[in-house]
Amino acid sequence: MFQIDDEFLTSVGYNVASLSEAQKQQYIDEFTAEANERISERLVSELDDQQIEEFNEIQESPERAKNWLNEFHAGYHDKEEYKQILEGTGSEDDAATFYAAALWMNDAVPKYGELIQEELDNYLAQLVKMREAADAIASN
Amino acid sequence: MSEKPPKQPVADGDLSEEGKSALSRLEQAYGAAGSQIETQSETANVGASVENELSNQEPVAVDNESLSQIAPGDTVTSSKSSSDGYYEAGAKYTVQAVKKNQRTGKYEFHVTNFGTKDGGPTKSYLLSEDDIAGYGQSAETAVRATTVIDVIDGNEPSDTNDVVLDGDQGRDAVVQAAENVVQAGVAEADGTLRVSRAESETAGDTTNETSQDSDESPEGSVGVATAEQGESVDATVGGEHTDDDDESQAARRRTEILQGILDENNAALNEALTQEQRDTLAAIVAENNAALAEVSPREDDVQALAAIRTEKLAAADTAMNETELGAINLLQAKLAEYARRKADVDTLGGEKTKAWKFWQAGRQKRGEALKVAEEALFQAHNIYVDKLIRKRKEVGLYEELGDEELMQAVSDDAFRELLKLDVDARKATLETRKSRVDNRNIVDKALAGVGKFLNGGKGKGWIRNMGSGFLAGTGMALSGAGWPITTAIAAGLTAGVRRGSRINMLDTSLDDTSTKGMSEEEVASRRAAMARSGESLSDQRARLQSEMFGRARTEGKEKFDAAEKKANTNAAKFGAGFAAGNLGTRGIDALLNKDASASAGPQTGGSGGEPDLPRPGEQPNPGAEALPSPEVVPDFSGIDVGEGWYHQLADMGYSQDQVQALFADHDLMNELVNQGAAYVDNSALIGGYGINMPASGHLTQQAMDTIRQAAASKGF
Repeated sequence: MFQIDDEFLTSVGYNVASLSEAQKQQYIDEFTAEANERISERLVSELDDQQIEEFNEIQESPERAKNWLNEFHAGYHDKEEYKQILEGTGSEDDAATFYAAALWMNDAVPKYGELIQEELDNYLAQLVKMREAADAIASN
Repeated sequence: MSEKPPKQPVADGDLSEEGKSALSRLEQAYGAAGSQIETQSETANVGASVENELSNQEPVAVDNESLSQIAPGDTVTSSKSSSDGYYEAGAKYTVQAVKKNQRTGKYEFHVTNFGTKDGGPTKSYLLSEDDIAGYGQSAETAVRATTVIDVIDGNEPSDTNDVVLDGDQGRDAVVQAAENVVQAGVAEADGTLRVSRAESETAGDTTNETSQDSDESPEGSVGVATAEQGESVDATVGGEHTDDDDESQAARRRTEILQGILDENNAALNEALTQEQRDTLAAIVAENNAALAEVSPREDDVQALAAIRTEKLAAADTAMNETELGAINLLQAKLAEYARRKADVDTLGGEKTKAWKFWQAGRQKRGEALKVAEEALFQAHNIYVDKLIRKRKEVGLYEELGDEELMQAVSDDAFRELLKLDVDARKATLETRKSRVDNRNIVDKALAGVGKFLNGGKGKGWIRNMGSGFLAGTGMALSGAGWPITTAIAAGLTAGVRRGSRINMLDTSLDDTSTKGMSEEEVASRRAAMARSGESLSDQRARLQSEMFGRARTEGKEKFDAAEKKANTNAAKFGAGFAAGNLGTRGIDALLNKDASASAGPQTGGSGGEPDLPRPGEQPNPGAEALPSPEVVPDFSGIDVGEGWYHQLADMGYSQDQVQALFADHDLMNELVNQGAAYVDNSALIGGYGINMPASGHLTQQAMDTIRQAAASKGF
């Protein structure tokens, strides 16, 4: 399972042993937020106005999400993955919202997981390049 | 160090018979000084700590002193060569153990790195005191010697002569044990477990008395016990025994004795002491504890250092603002320019359907302009970072760091500046893109919505619990690649990265051996000792870091090299997979002079096709700040009708010549800028202005009316 954690910080060149807990958490939060924003931009760039509006409606309204699920994924209550989500969220509204959003995104942007993968690969590669540049600066 | 209250001795005669018995047994274990050590519940740690301490000694330069002060870990110099060739005059050897030969009265020194002659002893050998020309006391031994005086006596630190030295490892055991007792908090505030044998024997100054002991008897009270143990483990020249085994046996013996008297000793000592004595000892304990309290926990230490660092960073920033505003402004200008170029190339939700064709037109030229902007941005950033690091050095941000720590610190800071640049560039680009759509609110909402989705919605925490098995494991992959976050990012990390791969593997390798850096206990012990020495916080940290890094480097070099080789191999495999094409990779490649294509831009024509960029650490090019914007002379010939302005104005019925005339009308263009329909852009492909194209793909009615009025005034 992936986490932006000490291992990640080490991967981008930090000497984790020398960082305070506060520093580590700050860096982890920053990397997480930036990765999230990059992916968000990438996904949004794949959507048109109507899609954006629909996605937002599903995200903001559990009833809308349930209606969408009933319309396009009837019987979703019985799906194992939905049950897992429900167990995780503990709320039918939250579970339906998230489940609908995920399925909706898959419909709108097929293989969006691969797209995310690509974005994260680029980000990580970029971080490594940045560290190389930083090392070059430090070595002078 | 604060002045400490005078000690009030505890008379030996005040002890009960049980107390005396306990003290006797303590003395048996540690000698007289050992009786100062309180029994503790963690006696096993004493032996272990002794072992650790003895294994971590380091030789230093030779400095002649009296033989009685030579201790394990010191470096001795041979005064002559042996007849059998096993040791040579002038050679330096590391002392593993020092023994007092009871028969001859002379010191004998086990050395560990003795002998290179074939057939000679390889593990240890004895040099007699007659063989020693001089020695250098290790810094570590000196610190311990100073520490024990402070801990035991509660007085100001004394010099090594105040310790009952016979050079035997037993002294080290006492030293370490004393530190363990105090640091472990065994001593109670009411002083019930504190009895000083030295104090009980005389009402005089303990330090002086101990010195007298040392003068009168080289073995001293410590030496008696340890020498006895030493006799049992020593002293065959060139023998096959190992001192490690001997030391372990001695440590176990001490531990067993201490363990045996633990309970009865506590009760006996409590019973033996009067309330006045307890009060006196409580004061001593309180003083010791106060001294220890001065030693901050590591996290506090780090926080204090972080505060210092923050102050210095602020000072450097102030200096930058006062003296390097040009570099800052240049960077901001190039950043804004880059954002516009990037926005020209990219598309965003909301643009896709309505203005997609427009944004597709002329992409190649926009891409070239972006490349120029990227390089200009990184050139400006390089100048800025160079100046920033210089300022930070000037304010002393890195002054306490050794070479390796300095490299890491500067690299971290430069890395952070690059991260900030990257984030700033992305956000500036996004803002520019949003400014070009009809309704930026819908984009903001879309970004927020997708971000919320990626975070798992309201039930954020449960995503982590789902892990990589979520959905993918059920046979229904929502995204086609399993759970997007866990699967995607994990795959990225599995590949490893160049520098991080090396570091991580090194850390793993070193962690698997006994040759890694100091343990936390060692660090705590060392810090306590150094705190008493009056060193500043920063000095303490610098020394600790130096020791930690130094030890890992020295003792783990073989594994370090092997791990590095393996890591580099992995890194090479992975490195080829990186793709350029975004700000970070392309721009930084240009910075590092690795990307041949980076030299192809119209403004980067250095000699030999190399990018004309300042190298890290070089003095900035005086003319760099005057570097012109990546201006591109308007080239109307290559522009299709559907390109930007021409597309719009052609739709309004104007010819290319008329359009050029309109673009040359600065009053018109300024008015369009004021309306938000255009923006000033010296590098624009057409006429020095960019177009803020609405998502509808058409200029606003107001903009078109303005253009028509201007055209009418020109007779078009």
